Amino acid sequence: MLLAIVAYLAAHFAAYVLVLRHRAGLRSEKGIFLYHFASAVFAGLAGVAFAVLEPDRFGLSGLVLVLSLHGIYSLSFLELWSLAQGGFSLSILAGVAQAEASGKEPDFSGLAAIWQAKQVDRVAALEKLGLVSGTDGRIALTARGGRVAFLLHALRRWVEPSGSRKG
Amino acid sequence: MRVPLRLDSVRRFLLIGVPLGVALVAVSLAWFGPTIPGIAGILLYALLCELYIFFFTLVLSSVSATMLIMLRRGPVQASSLASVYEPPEMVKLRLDRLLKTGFVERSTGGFSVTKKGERLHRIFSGLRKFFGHESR
Repeated sequence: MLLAIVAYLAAHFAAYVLVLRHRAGLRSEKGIFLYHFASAVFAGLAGVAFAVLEPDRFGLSGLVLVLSLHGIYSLSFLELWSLAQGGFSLSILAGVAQAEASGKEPDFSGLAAIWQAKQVDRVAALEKLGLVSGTDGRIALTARGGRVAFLLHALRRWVEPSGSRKG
Repeated sequence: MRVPLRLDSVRRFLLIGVPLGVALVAVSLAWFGPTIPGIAGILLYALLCELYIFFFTLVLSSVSATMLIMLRRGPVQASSLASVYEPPEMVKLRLDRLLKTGFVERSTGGFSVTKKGERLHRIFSGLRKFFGHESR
């Protein structure tokens, strides 16, 4: 069974590498997330079916195995995807590397402009997710945004009880 | 492990998480052997560790998370939200972090990428090409 799930995940990854990564739909955050989410739902349902049909050989621990393995695969993939897409520190590193290669000073004003554009994108993304809303030039949390912000704040206080962190 | 050790959050977590994980692997394999229950327990622990690291690096480093937390105090002007992270200040902050973590160093006339930074740059340039981000 372990081999079956590993083979399924390998096929899922191979399908992305060989065919799907060239498709426009899978170059967006939503698209790539749905690709993995749909697969996880499918694997989960298959796991539930096996757990019911083979309670002794597979059972609940088999379902946990399937979901855990898929979770590790998808989380690792999506983290790398996201980091490669938009890490600002990586943009700065690339800027310094390019400037060094061409014998020039890094274009920090250009990098600042990248940051500015990211800020605009961020607020737009938060609005699209329904976490904030903007009226008359003011940005406020929605009810959903308030709940998410509360959880994030609590988690930050747990992880770093003393610090205030910026950027 | 919430004591103020001189380690960043990820390393502090790994200091406890890795030995616990090794112990879990040993106990799990001793009790269940390389069976589905044995392996499931190990993989579940690995997933929970990865989720924990993901969430706490998200809340510590994510600018979006910081914006949402800031907005708990009340609505703000869109321009004020942008000025919390002044672009030149953010470039300096991130550059200082790259200097501190050894990916960039000061050199005569400016900055240069260290060998460690070059490796990271090569890896992520490759990943950007692989995921098709460069064509966007």
